[in-house]
Amino acid sequence: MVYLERNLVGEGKVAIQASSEIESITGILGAGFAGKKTMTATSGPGFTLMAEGIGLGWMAEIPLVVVDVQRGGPATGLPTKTEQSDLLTAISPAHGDSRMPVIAPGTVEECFYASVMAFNWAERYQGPVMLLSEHSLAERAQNIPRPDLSKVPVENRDVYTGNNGYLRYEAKGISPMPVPGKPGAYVANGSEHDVFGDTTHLPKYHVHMTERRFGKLELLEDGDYEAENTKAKIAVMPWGGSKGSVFEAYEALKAEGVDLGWYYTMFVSPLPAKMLEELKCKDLVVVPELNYQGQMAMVLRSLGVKAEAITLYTGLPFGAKELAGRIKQLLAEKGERTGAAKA
Amino acid sequence: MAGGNEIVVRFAGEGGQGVVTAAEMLARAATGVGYHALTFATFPSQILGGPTWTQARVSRFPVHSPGDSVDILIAFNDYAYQEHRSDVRAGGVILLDPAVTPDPSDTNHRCITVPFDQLAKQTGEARAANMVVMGGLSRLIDMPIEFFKDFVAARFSGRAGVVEANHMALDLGLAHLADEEPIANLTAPDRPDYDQLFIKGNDAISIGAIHAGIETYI
Repeated sequence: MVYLERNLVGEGKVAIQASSEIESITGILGAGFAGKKTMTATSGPGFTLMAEGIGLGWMAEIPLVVVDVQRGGPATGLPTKTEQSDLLTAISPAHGDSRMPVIAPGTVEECFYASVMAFNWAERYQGPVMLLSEHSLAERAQNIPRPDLSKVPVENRDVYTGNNGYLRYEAKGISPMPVPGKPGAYVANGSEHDVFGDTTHLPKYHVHMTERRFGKLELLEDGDYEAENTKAKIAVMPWGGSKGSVFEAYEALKAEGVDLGWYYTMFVSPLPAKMLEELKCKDLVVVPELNYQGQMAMVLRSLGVKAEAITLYTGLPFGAKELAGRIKQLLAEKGERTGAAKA
Repeated sequence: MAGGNEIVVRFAGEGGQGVVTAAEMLARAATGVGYHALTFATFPSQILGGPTWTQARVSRFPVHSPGDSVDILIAFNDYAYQEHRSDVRAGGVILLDPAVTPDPSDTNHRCITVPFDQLAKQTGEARAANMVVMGGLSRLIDMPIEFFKDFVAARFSGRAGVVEANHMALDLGLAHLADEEPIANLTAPDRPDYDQLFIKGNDAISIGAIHAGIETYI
């Protein structure tokens, strides 16, 4: 916020400190509808307060980015401690049938690229995108290579340029988005609507619009991912800010001769389609994560991956050495012989 | 002496004692001369007071986590000493405020009392306790004091009095620990051959948003 207040300057640009999260989300809904690239940021209960507005963004198909810096919860919880416990909420913050795209960077460097990609995704599929950071990553200071901006493409929404009488929601998939005040006026409606945007409860429209909204997510399944030692039957797959600790644990286990694969992506929902297919072929995918329930492992299991979590919920990040020990212990419980056991 | 590739330093005290900025200062100064560094900070939700600690891991190579084993702990109060000393590796160093009495049964660590505040006051800049610590650290990790002095000169550019006071604080900290054996001698870094930024995750998100063309932030 402070950075944007100082640097988001110039004609047509504005950074505003709103008085509430509801004001923030509805403000950026209006800006997104008006054709602007827009973002808000919050944490904990603030994210919950934005849930209804995010649902409206999904329903009316308005591009916007919501940053959720995760901390310990629920309620006021541990407001200054780190946790990765908003994944399920980020995927499904609103009531009703919806599934938000979620990008969760794992390093300070990835925070830059994740932010650009969150806007690109929002513009590409015309809807809300959740950028899921966490306290330890938000406060982490690190040296990173200066990003080469020429290699980071920026996407813009498909803008409608035709005449009036446009049926904004007629297509099965993505359709150009009109700019208010220009031809192509439509109703951006929170209620279920017909192809023009007018309210309707007719079953055929709810079916059409629901399938249209979910179908657009296929446009986001081409995210990059990391994969190493892909032939191993068991893989480790961190997400978000735990990436660094898990990577060091993975490297230590690799040095011991443990046959373990590595998978990682910041595009956590939807996952890159090719990566998901590879994960489905594994006997076990170990997911270290900072929450009680093992939320990413739950998501993976729902997608057909044999996943099991290693959890920590102290408000602190994983220590690499301790984590390496816990991964070995899990493999031993699963009857897997590790390099250390062979020795 | 620890290996020459990396060092993990933890600062523990109370909110408002400058603990949060200390790790960042060490990391920023180190990266400025070519080391890799990563910080971790955890603090209470109170604006002032409450147990706070931060950690900086400085290495010749890229680092991915805050580090497991603490080489040096700076404990600004007794709670910090009691709470964190078990995380300090055997043979590690603990710098203590004079108000803290080290446990005589603790033979695993080298405990050194440093009058941070008293030395800072000698500079005329009471808030320079952090720089006293940095001066002491430069001795313990065998890092040239000039690295920190250059950092101070850049940080407080145009404020000659502040620079002078902080330089004096660095010298006082170094002099106070002049007879102590370094715990590590970080080998000189291989300065990366690419341009770098030293930033926090939140700022990186903001920079990405600006590159993406954000027009409205609310």
